[in-house]
Amino acid sequence: MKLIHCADLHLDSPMGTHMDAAQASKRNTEIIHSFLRLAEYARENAVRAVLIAGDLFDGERVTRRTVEEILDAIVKTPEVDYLYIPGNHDGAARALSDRALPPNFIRFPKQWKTVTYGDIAVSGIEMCRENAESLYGTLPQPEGATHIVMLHGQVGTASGEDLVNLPLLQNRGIAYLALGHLHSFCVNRLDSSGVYAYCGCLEGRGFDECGPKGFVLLEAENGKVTPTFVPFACRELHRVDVDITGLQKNAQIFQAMQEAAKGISREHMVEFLLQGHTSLDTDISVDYLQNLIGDRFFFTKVKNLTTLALDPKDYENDISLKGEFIRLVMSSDRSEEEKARLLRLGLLALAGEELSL
Amino acid sequence: MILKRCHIENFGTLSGFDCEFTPGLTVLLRENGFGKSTLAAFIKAMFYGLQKDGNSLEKNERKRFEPWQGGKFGGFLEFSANGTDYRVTRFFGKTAAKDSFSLWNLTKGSPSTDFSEQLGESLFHLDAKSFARSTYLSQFSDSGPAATTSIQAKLTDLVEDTSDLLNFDTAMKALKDARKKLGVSQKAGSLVPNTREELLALEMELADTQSRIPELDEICRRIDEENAAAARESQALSQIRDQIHQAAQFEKQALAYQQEQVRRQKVSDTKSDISALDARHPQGYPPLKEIELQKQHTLLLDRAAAHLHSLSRPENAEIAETGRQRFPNPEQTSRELEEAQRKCTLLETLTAQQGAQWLPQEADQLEALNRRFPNGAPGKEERAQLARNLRQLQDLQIQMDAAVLSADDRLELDTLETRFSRGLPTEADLTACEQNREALRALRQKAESCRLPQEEEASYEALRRTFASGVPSEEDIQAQRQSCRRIAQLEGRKSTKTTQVEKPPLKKAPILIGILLALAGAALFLFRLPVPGAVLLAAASISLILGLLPGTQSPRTVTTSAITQEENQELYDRKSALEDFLLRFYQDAQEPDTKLDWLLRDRDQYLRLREQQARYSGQQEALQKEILEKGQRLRAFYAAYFPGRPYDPGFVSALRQQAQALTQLRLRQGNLLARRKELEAQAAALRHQAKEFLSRYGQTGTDLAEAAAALDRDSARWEQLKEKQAAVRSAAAEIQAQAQPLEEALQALLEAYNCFTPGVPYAEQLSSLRRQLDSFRQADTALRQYEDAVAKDRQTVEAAQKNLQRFASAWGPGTLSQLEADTRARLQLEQALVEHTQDLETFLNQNPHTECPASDLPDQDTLNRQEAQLRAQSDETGKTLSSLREKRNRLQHQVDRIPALQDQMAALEESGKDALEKYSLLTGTMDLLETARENLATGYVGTVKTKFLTYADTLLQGQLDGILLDKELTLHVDAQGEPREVAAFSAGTADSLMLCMRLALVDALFPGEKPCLILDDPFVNLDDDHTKKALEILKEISKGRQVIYLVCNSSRTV
Repeated sequence: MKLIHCADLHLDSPMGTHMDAAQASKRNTEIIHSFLRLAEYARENAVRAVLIAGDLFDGERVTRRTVEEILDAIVKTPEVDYLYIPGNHDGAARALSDRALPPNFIRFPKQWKTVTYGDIAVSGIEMCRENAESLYGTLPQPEGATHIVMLHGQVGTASGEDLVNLPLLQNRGIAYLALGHLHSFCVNRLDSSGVYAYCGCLEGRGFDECGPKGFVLLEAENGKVTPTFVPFACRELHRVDVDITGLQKNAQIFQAMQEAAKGISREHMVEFLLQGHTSLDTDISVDYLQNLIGDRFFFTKVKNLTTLALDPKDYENDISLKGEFIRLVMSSDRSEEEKARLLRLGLLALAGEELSL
Repeated sequence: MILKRCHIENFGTLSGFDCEFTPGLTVLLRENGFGKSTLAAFIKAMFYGLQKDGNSLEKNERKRFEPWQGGKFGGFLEFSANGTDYRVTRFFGKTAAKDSFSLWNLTKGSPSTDFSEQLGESLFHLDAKSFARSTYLSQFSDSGPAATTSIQAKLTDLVEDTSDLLNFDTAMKALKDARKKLGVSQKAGSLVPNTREELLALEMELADTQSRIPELDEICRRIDEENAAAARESQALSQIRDQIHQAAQFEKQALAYQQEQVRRQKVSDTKSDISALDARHPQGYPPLKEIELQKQHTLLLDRAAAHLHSLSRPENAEIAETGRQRFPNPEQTSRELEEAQRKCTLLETLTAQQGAQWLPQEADQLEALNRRFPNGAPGKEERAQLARNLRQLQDLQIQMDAAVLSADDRLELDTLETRFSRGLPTEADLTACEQNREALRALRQKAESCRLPQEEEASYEALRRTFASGVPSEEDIQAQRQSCRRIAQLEGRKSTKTTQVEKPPLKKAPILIGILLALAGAALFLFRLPVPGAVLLAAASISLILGLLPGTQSPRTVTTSAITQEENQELYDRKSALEDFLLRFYQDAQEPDTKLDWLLRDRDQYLRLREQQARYSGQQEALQKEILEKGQRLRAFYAAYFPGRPYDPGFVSALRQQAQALTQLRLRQGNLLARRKELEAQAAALRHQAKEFLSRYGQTGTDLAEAAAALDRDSARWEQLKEKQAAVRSAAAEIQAQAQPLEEALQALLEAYNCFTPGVPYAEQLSSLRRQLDSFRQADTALRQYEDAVAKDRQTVEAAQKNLQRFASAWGPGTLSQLEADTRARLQLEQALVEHTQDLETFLNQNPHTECPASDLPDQDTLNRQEAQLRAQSDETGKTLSSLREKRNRLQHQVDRIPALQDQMAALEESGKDALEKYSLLTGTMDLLETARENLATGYVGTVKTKFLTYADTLLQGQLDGILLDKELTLHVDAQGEPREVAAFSAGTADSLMLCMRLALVDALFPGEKPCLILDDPFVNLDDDHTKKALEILKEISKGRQVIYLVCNSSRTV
């Protein structure tokens, strides 16, 4: 039997990439459509149930249109059950209020509930302050079934509203602990007979969610559950470091950025972090580089994190305004990055060149 | 760098000016207004071109130094730099784009490219403003900040390596511009991005939207509750509907049972009805066809009886019975009548022919004519002669009518007779008029030529206005000329100024009081009264200080004019008198010399023209008198013949023509009267002859033509009637022979039918007989038809009665309709019995086990009421839900905006944060650059200060306590314990200070190279002592660099 473990879709959540309104809207639509694709995938691959381990929505931001699209996808795949536990971001209780919920959409309450598919039993509970401590004592123990448990929280050794106390779940006959909360895939052993896994989010939203995103495909057979991560995001986010030490011109830096991003699909989103040391002669314009690289990917962002390779002693005897300015900046207690920006800006102004902020 | 020579083509007041410069000190002693400042500006313009800092004359050099004389704007300057001689030539156009620049290497004698148009910057490393401030010292003190950025750059000696300090202003401007574009402003002491307002608005909108969430949640909760209630109601409704269904089943069974009973009853009832009917008809029922046939018989019987009853004997039966004896064979009678009619028509035709040939009125007419013409009518020849006489008479009348003047001629004759009622003018009178007219024309031409030519007349008019207030004498004008020369002399003296130094006088009164108080104080001390003594001594000290203080102040330089007070008054009086004199004749009094020349010339011309004009005026007067006299004579003659009409100068020829026309018209009128009398005599003879002829035949009318025509007509008619009377008399006998047999045949026929009446026309008698025959025929036909109808109806009645009697004997008594009704009822009952039996069988087949049911459910009405209550409750819940959902949707619609609002806010916050960061970066950069510049400035202030003190020591000889010099090179001098601005000192001291400052500045600016120094009479405010010292300094400086000293007073020359 096949099951899908997904979580942290955060539908309608804000984009953390500083996209413009049009791009953010498009990206949000893509995230919703990823769930629709997932439903289609489940139907086509004879998946019996999709386990949604929390944070389907994103707090108060959930809109009616999104809820309708999700429920519509569930209705269209009646052969697949959708087992859903609300997470800490599913605060908008009204999202599913007054909805004719399809029979294949099963929402787990704040008490344990178990759904059985042959010899597979899936138990879940919506974690809250009231049951945060007690839920471990009331964990169901389905006889003779391969037990899968769904929870939403950060694993640890303590109990809490969004804390999953792993020791209390060990040796409780859990074959697979399907978790949600962390946005990157990871799988670890729970005890001698079971594992726990975070499936990660379905689509990345900010550059702190780089890398492949998707869901975990579970194959349960003979009392054993085999998890396999399936990358499923329509776009990936990449953070690319570009060392521009020794490069003098924007064209050279642009070339270095292109080299560093080689192999990344045009459909992905890339953040370039310019690293290394630059000199006063380095012609570097973040805006210009942003414009140059902008149309190479779905979304790009350029950050200048370089520092100035400048020795204050070189300007000790320079009685020019430039020398005096450099001495003043270098002797100030500003950060290296800020000093670099001040120096670059002041010298550009004195040289009568276009100011790059 | 040494200036060698310059040539000014045109530049401000200077035109065609050349000047040689010596390597050391060049002194140019020129009077006031010569253009010393212009020369200095020209030198600057040769190096830098013309500057423009604004549109005013002061700030726009192109306007300010535009040549007064016009011509080519510019010139050249020769100078030596780096061991090479150059000539720079610049000419200036209306705009900078039209300026020209050329540089020649005079050493090589070829064009040079050693320097560009930015010659000044390349040579001195100073911009134009800095050059002016440092190397050009004007007459007027300028104690303001002297350090432009360019001077600062030069002072810090950085120009050779970098241009960054020169770019300081540009850099700061670029940074400020960039900061301005960021959209960040200072509000309430803190920086806020301009998007803050928008962000606040969004925050408020978001807060407002978020405040709806609790309400939305509450509504959602209520919706859930209502949904639960709706589910419960739905379940109850479902139960009650099940009960209603069961009750409906019970009712259905009961209904079936009732229906079966009803059907059975119907079969039974039908059978009973059939039995009862059969009992009334033991002989059975006749076929319906037989009944129908008997009904038709009854109908025929009724109709025939009614018809027979309605028949009546015709009214004209008598006529028919009588006619059958008179007209035994009507057809033959008819044929005989037709034949008789034909004969009657023929007889009428013959009678008509006889009557038509001679009408009675013709006979009356002939009788009347015979009475008029007892001897017969006049013959044709006599009547023709009468007609010829009448035509001749008519011709004579036409000729008489034509023998008169035409209407136009008659009108003209009347007009002319009126005009010349006093007699026709003689030829001598007319000739005299023509001579008068010619003389008048000659006089007018002569008067026209007696006036000034047009140009002279215009000049005379203009001069008359000029001298409207009187013509000045030549002596007056000469006197004003002398006055004008005196004024020029006095003004020259007035513009020459003398300078003298005055020491302030001591104030004697306070000194005297001070001495007295001191003596009194000393006396009090002697008398051992120290306190009052000390007070008096203190007062004495103050009084002495007040008296002696003016003596300690610097001597005052007084500038006075070379003209005396009396001369000044004379100058004023003379200028006023001259201006008054000139303004009597001209609109302004500018350029009096020229105006006086004009006045002399205009006076002579005016006097000449005035004399000429007077001469012409006398001649004109005599001529006009003669013209008037002759004109009046002509007008009087004209008025005699043309009273009340406007005068026409060419009237003489018209008058002559009209007199001739009158004579001719009178002659023509006499001839026509004679001819008319002759024609009248002929006409009277002819008329008498015609009247006599006509009266002979009874025509006595006055109209001869009409009487002749009547006579002609009557004569022709008399002849016609005479001829016709003869012809009719011969034809009457023949017609009478043909009519006789016809009359006899007609009379025989009428007598055969006993209807002949003598005297009555045959046609009328035949018509009566035909009418009698036709009446007989109609009456005979009607009588025959009546008899046939009566016989037929009687036969029909008899046959019907027989049939009815036979039917009644076969089916028993009773009416035919009753029998038919029973027969039909029997058939219908049979049919109904079959149908009821079949319906019962069908029902029993469909409902095999009908029985009366029994149920404990409430009746259906009760259940329906319960269901209605539940449905109403459910509807109410539905309405509540609908209302809640509507509210929910509305709120949800608003809440759905939260993501968009949050995203917008995040974007605005991000952009605002970014703008603030950039603003901070730009501000930090600007602050640091400003600090760097200030740090550098402190480096050159010391040098300038040292040099300044060196010069000040020489010029002011230790009068200065101390000085303060800031980075802007603004000078403050300590005086009486406080730093004071240069402007606070006397003009002489201020000029001395600024001279020292400029010299120090030049020394600091150019420690190595030696650019020229241009001084535009800077010592004008210095006293003799200081002027002497300044000139000594100048001589000393000129040993090391070229100095061009422009001065207007020989007392200040070196």
